[in-house]
Amino acid sequence: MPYSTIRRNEFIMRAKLQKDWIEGKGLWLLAAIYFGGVGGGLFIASVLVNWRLGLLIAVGITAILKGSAHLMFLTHPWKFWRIFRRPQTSWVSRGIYFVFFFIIFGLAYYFMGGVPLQVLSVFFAFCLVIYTGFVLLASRPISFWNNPLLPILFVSVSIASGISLAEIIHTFSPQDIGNPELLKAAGPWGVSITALLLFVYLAGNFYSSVTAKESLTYLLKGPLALLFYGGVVFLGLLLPLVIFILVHFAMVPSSALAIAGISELIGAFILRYSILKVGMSAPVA
Amino acid sequence: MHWGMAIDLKLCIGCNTCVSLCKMRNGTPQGVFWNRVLEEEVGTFPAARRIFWPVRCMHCENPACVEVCPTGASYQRADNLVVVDGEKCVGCRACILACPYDVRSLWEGEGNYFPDGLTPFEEQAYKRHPAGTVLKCDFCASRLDEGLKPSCAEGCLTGAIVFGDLDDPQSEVSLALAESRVRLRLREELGTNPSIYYLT
Repeated sequence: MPYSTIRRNEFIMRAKLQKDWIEGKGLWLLAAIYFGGVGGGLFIASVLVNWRLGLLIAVGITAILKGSAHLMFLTHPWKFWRIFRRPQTSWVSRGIYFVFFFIIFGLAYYFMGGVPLQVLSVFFAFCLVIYTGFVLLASRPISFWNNPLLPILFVSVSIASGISLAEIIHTFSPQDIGNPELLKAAGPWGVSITALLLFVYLAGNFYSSVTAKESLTYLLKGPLALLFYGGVVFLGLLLPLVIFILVHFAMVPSSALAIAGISELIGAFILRYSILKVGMSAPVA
Repeated sequence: MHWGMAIDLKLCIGCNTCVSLCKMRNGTPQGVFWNRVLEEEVGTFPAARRIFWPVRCMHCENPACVEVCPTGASYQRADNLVVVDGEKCVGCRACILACPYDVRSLWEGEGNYFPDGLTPFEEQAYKRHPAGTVLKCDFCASRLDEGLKPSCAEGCLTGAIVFGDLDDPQSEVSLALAESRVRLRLREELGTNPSIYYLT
């Protein structure tokens, strides 16, 4: 009998960290959530600054990267069409509709233009960036996720990432952007609003429940603290803000915005990783 | 018809017979437990004591797992049993995270208890569990269809597990619940309305 298969303390009443959506194949889900956020955020940013190629890149990221990451996550990817069947109750099911309609209307807007298609595609881009928050919110036993601010935080960080990606591409290969000044001005706003929402979200969890507080402790003082402070706070928020300020006062060349963008994109990825990683369900009794 | 269970915490001695019987009768794969007896330590010395909580799918009236399932693989039968159709399950694991009782697990289709490969028993038993799908307790639905009790209720050494139709006032479980005892259900605040009651 291989004793390694017997795990000590397995049947103890206690709070438990979720692993299904962050370990092993769960990392594909993290990638899918991230690419969905970046794709949807880039689409919204591209519409705001009037950058046509950005629309196509955003749809591509969503269709190819998010889509394949989702398929890699499923144990039966060839049965993915079944996910369309329960939009009346399931946010996962609603999500696949949002992805599907976003790709359709996003491409239609890219090729045909027009206000109705713009409104529809932006609406589904918004749904795309917000629904993953609702998917997590629906896991009621995990108090850290069961927080109404989470979807709003996901929207904010997604749009910030979209702006960052646009900045990076624009820096390395100057694009025909209709309103580059708006793109430059939107960067600090995206990061600042994300920082504010993140603070309120974490503070809310501090006062939410014992398990949510335990998740928070795990994040801020536990094994994830270094990653959180280094990845999310420094790379994702502080460094981009400092660079935005330095560029604003012309202390560094505007090409430094690409560094801010890369830093923000890394931070946004670690933010989602951290949120998934510290999801903890309360003891059953 | 509403299948339900009453578990007398004063009678449960934590022997794990229900866990073993469930594994034997349902042939659940390595690492998959459809029921578990959780241990909780209460109080401090010299008044410390240990409580055993036999936990399995609560077959809730408002099952969170069914609500979040995107394919309809998790569904509720007319007799209130919550079951999984392995053919429809895509392995998204949303139900595992939505379940407040941590009683669902995904079997990837790999692993066996003994180093020399699957035993003949495992070979037969594992065929019943499609790889890459979520597995959970179904109150031994096939036994219920034959008029038998679930294995755990039948084999409990102390009679702590009582099973029956909650809609029938004369059923064993209804009579147990009618006793003047404190009864509780786990994580009721989430609105799941579980069908397993604990008598304290």
